[in-house]
Amino acid sequence: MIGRPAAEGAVLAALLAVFLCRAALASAIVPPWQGPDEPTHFTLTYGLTVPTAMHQRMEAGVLQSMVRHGWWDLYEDPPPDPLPSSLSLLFGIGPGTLAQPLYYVLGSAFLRVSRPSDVDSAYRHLRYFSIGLAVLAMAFGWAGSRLLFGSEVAAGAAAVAALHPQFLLTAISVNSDALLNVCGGFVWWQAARVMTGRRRAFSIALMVVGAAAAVLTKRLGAVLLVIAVAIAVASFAGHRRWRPAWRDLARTAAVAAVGLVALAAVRTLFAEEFGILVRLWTNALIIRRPLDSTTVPEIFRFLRMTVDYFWLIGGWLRFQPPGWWLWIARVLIVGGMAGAVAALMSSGTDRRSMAIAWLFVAVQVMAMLFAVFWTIPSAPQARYLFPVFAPITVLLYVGLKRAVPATFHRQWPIALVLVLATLDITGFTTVHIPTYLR
Amino acid sequence: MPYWVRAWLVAGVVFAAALTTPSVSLPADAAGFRRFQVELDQTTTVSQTFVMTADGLAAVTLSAAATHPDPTGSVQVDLFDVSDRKLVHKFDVSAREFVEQPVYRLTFPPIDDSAGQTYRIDVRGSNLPAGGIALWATKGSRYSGGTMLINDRERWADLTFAAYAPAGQTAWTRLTAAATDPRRRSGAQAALGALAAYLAALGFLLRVVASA
Repeated sequence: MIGRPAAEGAVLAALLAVFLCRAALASAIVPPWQGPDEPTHFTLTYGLTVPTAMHQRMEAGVLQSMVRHGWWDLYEDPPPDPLPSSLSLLFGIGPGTLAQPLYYVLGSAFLRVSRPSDVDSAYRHLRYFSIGLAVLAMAFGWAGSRLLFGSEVAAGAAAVAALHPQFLLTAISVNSDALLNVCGGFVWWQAARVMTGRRRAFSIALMVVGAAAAVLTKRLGAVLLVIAVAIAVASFAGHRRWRPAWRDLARTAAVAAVGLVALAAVRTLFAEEFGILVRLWTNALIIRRPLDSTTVPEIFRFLRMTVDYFWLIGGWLRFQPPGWWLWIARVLIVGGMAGAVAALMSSGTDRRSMAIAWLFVAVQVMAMLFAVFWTIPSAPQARYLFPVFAPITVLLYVGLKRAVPATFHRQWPIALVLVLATLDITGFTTVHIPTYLR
Repeated sequence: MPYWVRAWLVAGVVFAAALTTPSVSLPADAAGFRRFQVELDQTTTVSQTFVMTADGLAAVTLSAAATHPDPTGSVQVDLFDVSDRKLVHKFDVSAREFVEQPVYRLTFPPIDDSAGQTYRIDVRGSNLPAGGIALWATKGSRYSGGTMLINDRERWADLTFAAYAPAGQTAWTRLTAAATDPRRRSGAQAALGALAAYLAALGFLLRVVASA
């Protein structure tokens, strides 16, 4: 697919252009507050830029904006009359906490620079911030995929990401998912650097820093920490005679020392928030349902719903595409993943790289199952898989390409782009436009 | 013609088709090759059942023709919700008005939860002259969600009819309508601009992929 560096640059520029046009289209159609828990995440972020005395007024502004943008209409409910004084009194919107501060701190820093004039413009600015983070996540994902699989697979996987409707919805949502996906892309990139022997010790340190940033963004980020440790162990185990350079060791030790000092400083300076954070994390590990109470049919039903919701479901699990659309998406996902399993077994492919990609996806899926069935009950949501979106897109690309006869390999990239673009535009015309332009 | 240009043309056709195809297929049966007329009078009730495929049922059209030079009297049309066994709307239309246009549209306040409900339209004449007006129908079972009935007896035919709901609008209609609404103009115009840019960027992508 890609033989020259100039061609690779052109493909990436074109993918970026396509993604930004789609982001502009989605931003023009999907009204504010439709993403998961957006009002809460927004008020926590915007709240850091306004005086505490203004917080109640800000929340009132958010509630009025929700009325203006038809938030209740889309639930086919009238808005509460009178409007509640606080978002916490609204049913169905999850809480957020500043104890996991990374997204809120970065988002508020962005707002301090962009200086929005009111709630609606602040929302819009944070949406642009999320789009920027999504581009960064895709760039990290591409860098990691390129190291492990080469230019062609990296570009193909980036094409899947650039034309993925549900990833786009996450990219225009004002919440911490966007930053978590950046952390996921970064960990994938550093893992690729570790496994391909590029300044291994330093890359391990960066990978752990990326995973720690993920943990400070969302609890789900803890999965990336597990993956980072597994990659580091695999790297050591695979290179028994590995002798790191002193310079690398010194840098790693310095990074670790800075990390420990920072942790101690946070523990001392923000004792209350630190306590909340520890409770939040341990709460995610409390088993609320007996481990043996989950049945196999339940797990299959959950996986089937995950497949159905992975490519597109609008309005936070409410607006589904038509049946024919879902069938095409199911074929793409199941066919791609089946092909990726075959590629892992095949001797003709780089099995080690495939195994790394599968490690990311398998750990994430297992963590999802563990959380949903035993600790934090929830419906399947594609965004739970997006921290490992780069390896997923690689597996889909590799798996789907396996199904294409060799005689059609020349036409395959264009056919893939056409199929993905068809799914995307029909996602707009059958889900977003009928839902939001009533 | 370069390969990528052909692919881009295909993408353009897909975009156009996606934008101009309604997101939901609403119940309807157009006049077909085997069309025929069903005479209306005081003793005959001509009906058509259909299953609504979207919420917001707001209108039904019927196709009538004058079979008398001066149709007098009136036509009664009832819309029944068969699922909930209730009369939803009742219309009394003058016969002359009913046949003035090839298609008569019966409009009523939208029914919010109409999706999945079975409806029946009953049409009967009142004080019509003999051979006054007739409804168009087509033989066969082309519409699978219901059938035509005459005095409650099923017939192997369907009336020429169409049900309307906002979901039956095309994406293009919604975008262009929003572009003329002062409240939604800027968003709709931005969406139309982004759509055009998306198609252009897709052409660029196909070109560089083909030459890479």
